[in-house]
Amino acid sequence: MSGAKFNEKKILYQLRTNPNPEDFAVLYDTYVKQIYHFVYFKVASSEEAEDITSEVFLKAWHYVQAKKEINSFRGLLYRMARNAIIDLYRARAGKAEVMLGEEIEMADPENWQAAIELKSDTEGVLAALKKLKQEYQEVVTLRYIEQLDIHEIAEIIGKGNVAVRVTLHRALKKLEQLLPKQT
Amino acid sequence: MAHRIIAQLDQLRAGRKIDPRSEWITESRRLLLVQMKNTLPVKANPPQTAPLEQAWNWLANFMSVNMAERVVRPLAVLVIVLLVATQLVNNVDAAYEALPGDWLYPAKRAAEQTQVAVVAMMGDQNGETKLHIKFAGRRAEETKKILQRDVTTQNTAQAVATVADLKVEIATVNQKLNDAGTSGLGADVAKDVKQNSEQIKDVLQDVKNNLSVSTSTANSALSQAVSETKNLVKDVSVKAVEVLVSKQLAGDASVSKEEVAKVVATTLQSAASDANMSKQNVDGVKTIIDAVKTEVKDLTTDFKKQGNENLNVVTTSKQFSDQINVVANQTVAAVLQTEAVSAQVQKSVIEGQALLSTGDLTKAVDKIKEANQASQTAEKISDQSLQTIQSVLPIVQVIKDNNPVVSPSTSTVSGAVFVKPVSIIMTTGTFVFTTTTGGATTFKTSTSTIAPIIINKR
Repeated sequence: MSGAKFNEKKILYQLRTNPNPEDFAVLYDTYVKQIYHFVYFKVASSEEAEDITSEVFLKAWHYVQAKKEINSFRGLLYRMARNAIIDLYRARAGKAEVMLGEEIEMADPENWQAAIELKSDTEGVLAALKKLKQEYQEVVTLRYIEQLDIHEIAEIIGKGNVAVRVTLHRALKKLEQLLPKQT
Repeated sequence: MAHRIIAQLDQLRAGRKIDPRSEWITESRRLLLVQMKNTLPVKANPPQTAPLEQAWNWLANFMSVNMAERVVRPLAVLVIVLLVATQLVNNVDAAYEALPGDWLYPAKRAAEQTQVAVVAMMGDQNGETKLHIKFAGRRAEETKKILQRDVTTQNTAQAVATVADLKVEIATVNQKLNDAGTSGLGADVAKDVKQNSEQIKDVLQDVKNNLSVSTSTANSALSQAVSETKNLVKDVSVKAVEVLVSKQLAGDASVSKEEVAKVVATTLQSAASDANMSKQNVDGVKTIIDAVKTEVKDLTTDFKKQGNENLNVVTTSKQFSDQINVVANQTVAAVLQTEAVSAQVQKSVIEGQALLSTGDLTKAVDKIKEANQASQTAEKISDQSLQTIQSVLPIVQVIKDNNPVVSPSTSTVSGAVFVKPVSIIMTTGTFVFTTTTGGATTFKTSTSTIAPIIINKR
């Protein structure tokens, strides 16, 4: 167990025995950016990402206060973020926005690629990432942006390690299709 | 291509283009702190968690649920139990010193159960009986040590539970002795039981003495449980002598006739001493009651002489005086009863000793049984007398507290004597009735070898 992990466990123990918001704020400082990133790719705007991220931390505080079992605090935050996004999608069901689990309709792939080509490499990959379906987006973000291990991703999305590897492979393939081919 | 995409994703991460605004992070943090503080309940005294539980919570925090509950916990318990049971490691001595409520106590008890289970599995009746009497001794010591801690409801409850466990151990030993004829229990085991039961009896007497200081209902119930258990221990002690005699008569070479005769003589003497102590206790109670009776009478008179207009105080003290008279009469009856019982014990002892001198061990044991029964009766009367006086003495303080006229600092007799006589300590020495003015009235009991009573102000 790394020093950071040990420290995190120590904080969680303190929070259960003697809840102190300042202790929890340390965990907020550690994970706020990661959770924001995770949410950012799945929502329409940075404002929505901020709202959901704040909500996730408040829910996590209540969870810790309820003295429920926590194996991985980071895993808990990601699962909560995932559920918050699903709730958001459900609330928007029927509206012409991103649909849960469905790939974006690309009526005119040629125009798509043209639009992405106009941007720099990073902006292009960001735009392409946002076009991926929910499942692919999650594994790519968690693996290559947040750099989580396969087993950690498996725990967060509730799948086996092999299924995560397969999904990741397919997601990269899809991303490849969405990005303009390099000459 | 995949490598290119991964490299681009890496750039995206490193480029911080997807990072949240720093102002938002700060503001969100501040808001979160406010929201969290609002959810905190008003601080009350947190419930005390047992040290073992605290340690376990700490450890479990660093493991997965499955690992903690299904593997580590059972394994840890097993290791401790095996270490304690097999005595492989020197530092497990700590476990033997553990008291109820300590984190090692469950391991200590589990180890004991393991030891008994192993011996029972091997069909070793001798070993099993020795273990039960040994563990009974531990329970008695634990009860004594628990009551030396602070007086709390939790400690009293633990003492009650420990006495109950002691009772079970003694009942098991008793059963083993009853089955001695068929189970092949050795004379050496009977000797061991006899020796240990005498020690347990002494420890329980100490426990009773400590409890007699308290006036709480819970401790009164505990005191009764201790008395009952002590009587069971006495019975086991007598039973062990009976087994010893029967084994010797059956030709068991591990014990000589002289040795058995010595044990019988000691047991007879022990029954006589017990009865004598009970008698002295009752005499001591009578001495106290007589003293209090006189002082209460004087107080009532003093109130009237001082022209105290508070009729309630006078009336209350008069009522108390009447109550003291009732208790005094009860005590006189108790003194007469214990005198009669004590004489009966002495008679049985003398007859037993005579039988012993003729070499009739079996009949001598019958006399031990008689003396033991009578001795238990005397002890019961003594316990009742002590309880009665405990119920009366605190009332003295109530009268004093309700009396605004007589200041504790005045040197008047009535003001001086009515202190808080709430503690009665059975001890050898003299009976002292302490006063608030620093003086003390000392009463010598009839002989200095027996148990007088000390009443101290709180």
